[in-house]
Amino acid sequence: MERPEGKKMASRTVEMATFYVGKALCGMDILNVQEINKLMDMTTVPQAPEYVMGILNLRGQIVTIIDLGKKLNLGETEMGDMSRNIIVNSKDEYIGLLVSRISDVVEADWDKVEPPPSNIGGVQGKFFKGVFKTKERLIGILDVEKVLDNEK
Amino acid sequence: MTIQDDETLQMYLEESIEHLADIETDLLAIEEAGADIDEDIVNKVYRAAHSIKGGAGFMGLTTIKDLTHEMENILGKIRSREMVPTPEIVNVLLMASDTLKALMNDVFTSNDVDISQHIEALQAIAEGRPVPSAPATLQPDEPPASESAMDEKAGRISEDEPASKSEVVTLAAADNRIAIDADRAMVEGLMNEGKFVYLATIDLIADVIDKGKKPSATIEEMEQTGTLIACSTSPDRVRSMKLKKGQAADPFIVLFATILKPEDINVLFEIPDHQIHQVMPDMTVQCLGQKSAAAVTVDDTPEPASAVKSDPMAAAEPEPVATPAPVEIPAQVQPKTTAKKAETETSLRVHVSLLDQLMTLAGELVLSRNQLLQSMSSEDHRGSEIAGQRIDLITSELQEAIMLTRMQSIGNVFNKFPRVVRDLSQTLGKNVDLHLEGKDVELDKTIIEAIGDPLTHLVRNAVDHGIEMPDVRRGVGKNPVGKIFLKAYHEAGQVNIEISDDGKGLDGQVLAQKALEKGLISEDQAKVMSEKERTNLIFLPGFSTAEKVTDVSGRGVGMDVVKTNLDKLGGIIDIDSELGKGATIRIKLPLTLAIIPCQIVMTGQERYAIPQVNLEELLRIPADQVKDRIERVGDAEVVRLRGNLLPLIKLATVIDTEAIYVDPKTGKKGLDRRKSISDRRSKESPLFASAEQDTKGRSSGENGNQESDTRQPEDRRYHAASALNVVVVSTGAMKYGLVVDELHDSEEIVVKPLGRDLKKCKGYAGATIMGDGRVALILDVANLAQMAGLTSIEGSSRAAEVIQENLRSIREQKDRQSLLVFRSAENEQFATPLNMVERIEKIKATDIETVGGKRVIRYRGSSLPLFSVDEVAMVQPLADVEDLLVIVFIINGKEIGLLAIGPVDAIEFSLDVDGRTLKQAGIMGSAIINDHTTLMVDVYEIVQTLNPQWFENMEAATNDKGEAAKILFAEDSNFFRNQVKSYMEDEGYAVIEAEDGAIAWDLLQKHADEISLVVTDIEMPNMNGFELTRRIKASNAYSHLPVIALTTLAGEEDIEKGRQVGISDYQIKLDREKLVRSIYGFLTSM
Repeated sequence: MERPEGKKMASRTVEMATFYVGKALCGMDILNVQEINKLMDMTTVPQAPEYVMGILNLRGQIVTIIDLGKKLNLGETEMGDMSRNIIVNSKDEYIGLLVSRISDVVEADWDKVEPPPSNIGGVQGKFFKGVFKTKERLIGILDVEKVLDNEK
Repeated sequence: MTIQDDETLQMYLEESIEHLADIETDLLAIEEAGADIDEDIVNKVYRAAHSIKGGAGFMGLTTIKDLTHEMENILGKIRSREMVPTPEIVNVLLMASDTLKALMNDVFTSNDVDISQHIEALQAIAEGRPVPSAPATLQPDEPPASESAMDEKAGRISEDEPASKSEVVTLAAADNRIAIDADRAMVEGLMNEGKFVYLATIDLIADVIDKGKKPSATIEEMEQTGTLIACSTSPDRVRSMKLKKGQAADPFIVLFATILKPEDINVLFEIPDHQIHQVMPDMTVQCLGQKSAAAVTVDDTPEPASAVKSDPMAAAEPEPVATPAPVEIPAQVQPKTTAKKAETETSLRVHVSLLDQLMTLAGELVLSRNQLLQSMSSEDHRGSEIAGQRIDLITSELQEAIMLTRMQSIGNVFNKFPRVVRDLSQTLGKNVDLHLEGKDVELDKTIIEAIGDPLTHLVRNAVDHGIEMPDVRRGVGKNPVGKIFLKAYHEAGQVNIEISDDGKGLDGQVLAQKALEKGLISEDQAKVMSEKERTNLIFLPGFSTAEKVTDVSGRGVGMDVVKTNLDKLGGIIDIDSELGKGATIRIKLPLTLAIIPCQIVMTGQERYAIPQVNLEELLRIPADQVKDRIERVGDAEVVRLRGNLLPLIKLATVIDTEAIYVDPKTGKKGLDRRKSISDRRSKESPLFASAEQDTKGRSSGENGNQESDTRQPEDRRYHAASALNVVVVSTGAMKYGLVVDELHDSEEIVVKPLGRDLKKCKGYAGATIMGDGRVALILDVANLAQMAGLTSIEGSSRAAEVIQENLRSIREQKDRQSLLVFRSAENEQFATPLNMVERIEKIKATDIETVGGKRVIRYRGSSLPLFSVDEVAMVQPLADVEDLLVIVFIINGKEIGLLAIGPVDAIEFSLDVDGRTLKQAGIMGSAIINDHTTLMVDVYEIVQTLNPQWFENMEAATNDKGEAAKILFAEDSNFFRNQVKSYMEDEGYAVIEAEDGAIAWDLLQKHADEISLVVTDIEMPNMNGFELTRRIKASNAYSHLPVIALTTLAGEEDIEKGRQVGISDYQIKLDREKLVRSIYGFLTSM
């Protein structure tokens, strides 16, 4: 795929915020991330889609929290000490992605990013822009807009 | 055009539009005054026109300047009394001011607009000539030149140029014979509302005149059934056109949005099908007529369109968003586009004093913040607390002040109605007087803007369908001049708007019949509906169609649309109608949309907010009454509430969450396993179990439940926590009870929208942030009802069924009475009619003072006298406890408190009162309530004994008049008969008793001359109160007698029914004072 954001950068590198969804290591462009917090005092919304954990007050804004594990079909994210909400801004709306654990910020070179295998770690491939290999691990790069797009 | 700069222009426009709004009202006033010229008003209009003219000259708006100049000339002549403002003159002036308004809205192209007609008309008036071709009075045979010119112009735009702006879409039939430009957003908006958009060509001669119709009527019909998006000729012009048969006229092309389906549309138009085209959501156009060769198929849109030769525009259609690239049409910018722009850029005038106030408050806020920060850093708790309080105070003031900046008076909307009513009534040949009231009532700007259309619709409806033609009115003995009242007022933090007319009203029967035909309700439902429910059918979606305009009374065209619009605003609409007498439509609106008061409830460990607009009351049904008050009808659970039945919905069930029950002892929370509310048997109470088996016809349900209950060894059903909390909500047409786990406070909340993932959850209207920072969802009660499968009709039919049942049981048993049960000593139970109780207060025994041998308590700045039952009746003395209750009654206009102890309870009881065994002073009788012998307290008698001086005045007054008055009193219950009879006899009336209606009727014949008033019960064997009244009112000899009906439960229905048969007044049994006053009132007024 063409990555205009990558092209603009001289080195075609991008900083990735990486995090664990269950056991899978995923990443997203750090510029998508508004903030990361561990507010877990959510209000459940009965009758909401299954992947919606609840809604949260983020400094006066109502934020919908999505269980990224469920959304990516990686199984429910367990809430624990390490779990965090990654708040992203998408189409003028704040949405929180609940992940199991936050990992490092990784500098990824677009040239080294490989197209996603049709099925990575049981995840639907369409949510991923590609896969990046570090020395030890594989990082699945999430396409945030696709993840948040409900019109399947 | 030399437009100075945007700001100056904007200011000028705002000012001018304000002037214009005034001009309109003032012109109407001038017209009314006629020759009797009020110079002040004329001067005012003159000055307004003058300043518009001055500004226009400065701005280089020549057209506007020219037009106002001519207006000014005429006004000058009126002012100098050279001219009498006849309706014709005012008409021309009004037309001119309308045109001015249009010019203002589209100021950039205003100089290119042809206003020669207006100028000519105005000049003609000024010179005293007859108006040659005044816009309103086009000469019959002259096809107006300028009009066709305009048509050509419009036509040219659409033919030669592709849609010029992105917002404007050109819609054309495939053969390009007809085409029209429209605002794309508007078309799409209407489509999204579920409306169909049609492009139709109406040959005003062949299709209208030749069929014996009037163009104005056609337009009228269209405006009522839908929205005219665009037309080739302005509707006003068509309306005023006078065309003759056989004449050739330009086809009238309209783009029209309506809810009528393609197969029904021709009911309205009555023109050949091939002249109607439906506009598809992708802005392509499909012909309805099969024979049209060029019929475009839906699927492959680009192909047929472009197949048409030399038709660039049709080809552009499939991508209707034409390139926003500059197209060379500088002169003729689409008026719609610019008009739209001007509207969105509105600014608001705020009084400087208000701004100053805001500034002061902002200053204070900053100071308090500093104080708070300081206290916090020095850990001064006291200081932070004080600062916190100040901030709280300032915030509310600030909120209020900011809200004020958004407030506009409803007069802005109301002021246009005199004109609407005037024009419409003139067209229709009716005489209508419009009375406006409460123009100063202020509402949030957004609401003011949104309320305009629905209100206009309602007012037009009132004129068009409500008020009859003058001769019809004369025929039925009404004043030929119809009256329409438009009234706005504040009530309970909301704004109420009432539109009432004294026209023909709505015929519920016909409406029900229509709804039946349309399959909106079933026959059974129709039968059991009350008149009011029938009237409200008009709001059912899909109820209004074109044919009704002629068939039924006509009201209701588009009423469902009005309702939908109001629903969006959080408003409530209700209609009251009396056939032949008129109709009243009531609208309740919130003051603002942003911050709304809400009732907070809790279910399943989450809090929810219910907007106060929807809230009717809160109800708590104690555990031991659940069995009595909640019943199952079919699948539905209903609660008895003051004689009516209220469908119940469990919030936890509807939104599919788990109800939580709090153990009252341990405070532990557990899942509430009650599946249905009426299923509340206890394993220890055989009574509950048998009731359960009766209602559900299930006999083995016990064991399973027992096991699941073992988790909670105590029987929680006896605890107060097990009581049912019901929030009674209404959505206008329907009312239901929402069962929640807990009731919390009411709070003012700020509405926040929900994210896109939650848009599909229909049960919520939004979310809000509570004081503790957590989020709570706002419930949408209308959608909840829908989700629970409860529509108003269903609800009411169900309720009606049970009401029938209820009535039967009432007939079988005795009258039901609402009673307040309380105690004075621990083991003696008393009861008093609930409707006599004003309120109940909790006090401490130490607060009671003894002054002058009487007990009083200080209350709201005055002394409330107290008494206890044992002061008069031979009962046990008042319990000596710390916490006492005071039941406050108003006797003879004075408040008095009865000391009592709990538990107090309000019950509905089928009174079977024994008026003998335990009767004594202050006690009217006894009854068995909840397995206890309960003494019925005669508060009146007690007070009379204790404070005889309170009653002197009243009795004296009665003696003057009521000396020989004889009252016929029909009542089947011995207890009530004796009781009420004694009331009346105490007052000095002579009473003739009858045990039922039939006996009363016989007695009436015998004592015809003596009886001056009839008091009757409603439910009686042999002949009921209604029948008795009917007979009395039907006979010549007795129809003058006032009839007072006594009931225990005066339902609205009954009252209505009573009114119809001629009952003069309703009084509640045992409310001695009101009854006596009512009797006195009738006897003295005779």
